[in-house]
Amino acid sequence: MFDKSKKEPEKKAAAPAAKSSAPASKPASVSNSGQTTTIGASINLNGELKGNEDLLIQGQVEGNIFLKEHNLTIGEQGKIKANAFAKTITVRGELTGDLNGLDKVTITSTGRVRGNIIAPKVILEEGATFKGSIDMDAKAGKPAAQAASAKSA
Amino acid sequence: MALFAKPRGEPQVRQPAQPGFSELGCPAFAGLVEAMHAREEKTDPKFGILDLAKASGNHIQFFSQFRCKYHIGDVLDAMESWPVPGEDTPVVDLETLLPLHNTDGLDLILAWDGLNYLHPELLPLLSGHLAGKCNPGAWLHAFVYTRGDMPALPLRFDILSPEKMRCTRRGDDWVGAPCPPQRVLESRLPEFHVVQSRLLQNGLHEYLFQVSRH
Repeated sequence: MFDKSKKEPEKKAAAPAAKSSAPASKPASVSNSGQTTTIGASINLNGELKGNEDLLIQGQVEGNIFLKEHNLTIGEQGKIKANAFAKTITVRGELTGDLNGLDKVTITSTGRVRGNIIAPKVILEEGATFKGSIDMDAKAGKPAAQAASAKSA
Repeated sequence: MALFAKPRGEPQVRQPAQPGFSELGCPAFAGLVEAMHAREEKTDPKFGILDLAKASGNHIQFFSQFRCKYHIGDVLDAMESWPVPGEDTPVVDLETLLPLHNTDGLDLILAWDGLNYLHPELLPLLSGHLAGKCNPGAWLHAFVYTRGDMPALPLRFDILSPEKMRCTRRGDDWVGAPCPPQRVLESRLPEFHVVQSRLLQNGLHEYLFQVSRH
């Protein structure tokens, strides 16, 4: 039942980029493991990303990212210059731009963000780097509007 | 880092009289939080808050109880690249070095330990820059050293409650502290005036300033 060998082998996140003329939102070098699509570390994307599934970015993206009802993760190798809109946004890598998290924005200990955040809940882990502003509206977002940080920086 | 501080000989190690962290009461801050709640009840404002320190999840968590736009200044980091006025660079462009875009005006500035580490000639420039962004009645809350020495790196402050903070020292090195008396400090922040001032138990002086009418 839980035999991993029966699963379809996952494509490596950082697999070499296949040459493709596919549009930026669906390049051939993007892998999909279950519900999460991964943009590998060797991928450079320029443009607008829209989708209806969770996304992990390990590569470089410039532009705008819209994942209205899904989760966006910027991996440790990810370097993003973009405005991002998603249900939850987790930054483990570098991001310059504005973040709009419907539920939550998390900057982990390895994350570096320069920009503005709008979210009912903001988590900044110990060691995270952030420069910019955070728009918090406790009344609008309660009970989520507790920009919580168990491990505050 | 310690632009204002003058190292006094070899770094000293002080143990155990000055532990790595301590808790301190902060009555002026407690009064400030109360005043913010009172203002909230009357007018339902959206506070503009500028934290001059590095981004802290603890601070963000605490101030999320208010409707606010919370700006991270990380001023010491920014000021490492600031030229000292008079040294071939008479003009310090604060708009570029400490940009405060998209603000509807500041109602509170948190200067937790940063003022101790800035060059005295930068303080009036910073004061003017910040005052220009302040709404009428805006507060500036600061901790300033009053004893001869201070840690080589700024303390980290965690809010435990409106009445109590924990301050943590980073590193064991000490440097000479500028220790400006209140009169001198006020003269270096000419756009602000002291409304409350308390000497705290660990040698820090807690100041609550308010922007003067401009």
